[in-house]
Amino acid sequence: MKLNIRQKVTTSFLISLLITATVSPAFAQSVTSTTLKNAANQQARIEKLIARGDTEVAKRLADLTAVIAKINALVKLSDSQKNTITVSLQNNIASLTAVKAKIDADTDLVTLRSDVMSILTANRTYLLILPQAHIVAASDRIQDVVDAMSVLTTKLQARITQAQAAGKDITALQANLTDMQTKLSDAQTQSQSALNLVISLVPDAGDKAVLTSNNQAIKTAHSDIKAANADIKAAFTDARSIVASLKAMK
Amino acid sequence: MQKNTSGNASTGLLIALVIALVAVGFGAYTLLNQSNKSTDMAVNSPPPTFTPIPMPTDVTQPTSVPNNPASVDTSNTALDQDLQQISTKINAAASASGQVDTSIQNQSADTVTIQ
Repeated sequence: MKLNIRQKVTTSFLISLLITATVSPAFAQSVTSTTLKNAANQQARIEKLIARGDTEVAKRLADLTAVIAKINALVKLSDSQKNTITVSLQNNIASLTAVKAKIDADTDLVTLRSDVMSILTANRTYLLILPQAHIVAASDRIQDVVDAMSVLTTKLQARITQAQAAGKDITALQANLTDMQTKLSDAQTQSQSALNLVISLVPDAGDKAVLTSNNQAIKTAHSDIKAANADIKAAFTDARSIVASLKAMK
Repeated sequence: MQKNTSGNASTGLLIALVIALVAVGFGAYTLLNQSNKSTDMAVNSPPPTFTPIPMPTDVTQPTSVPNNPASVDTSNTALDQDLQQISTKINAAASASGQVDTSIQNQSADTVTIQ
């Protein structure tokens, strides 16, 4: 009954064939099922990414449209400056609209990812364009206040001179007026500086040096706007104090 | 006896090969299943989101303060009116400045990674 070597080899071969025949169909089925699942996952991923891209574009378009209306209502900005910033905003809208159309037509996940990221990286709507426009608008409002308060300083000076002629002590009033004028001058300088820093900025288009200088310009202009705002508030406090003192003089 | 030893060795080798084949098959199957699960998780996990802060409402600016030297009114009433108008303009400027602050806070919406 002892099996010879040929019989043993044949038996082993048959056993391995049997095992392979048992495992292979299950394995093949599993691979097919996995491939289908992966394809479905990829499609789901594409659809989600397109929806996300569309949402990001829609947010940006809404904010850009709102700020254009604001820029058009500014009173101190020159027509040329207004045109510069408006063209920048409209270019951003056109670019976002184009990228949205591309995203909606994308069928390849890698291309789609790149296009969705370009909403952020190529357009810089939130990083640059909107802060730039809001800084321009804030600068305009501050300069409008400075103009109005400059007219008031002339009136206050006239009243102080009258009071001095009438023999009143105007030392404190004059000091307040001088402080008011200094604050207004500084507000004018700071708001003009903020405007000059940002008015001509354009998206970096992937240039890191431009990105860094843009970010720095926005940061500095933001500080300038804050300082100018503090100045006009301080100047207004001076003005109210002067008016109150003038009223108290009989 | 030598033939029998050689035969046993060959049989052992073949059985070992079959076991290895089965093990590789199941290993690959397990790996593919894990990969599939991780893809499912990636699809189902929520994407990073950033909701920009809404801009505060604008304060309406009044018409400009009269600036005609020939008719300068420096009475207390005129000064009060000027202060009132300037106060409204300052509020408008503060509102615009607040919108700058908000837009600066929203800058991070352009620095996230969307996958």
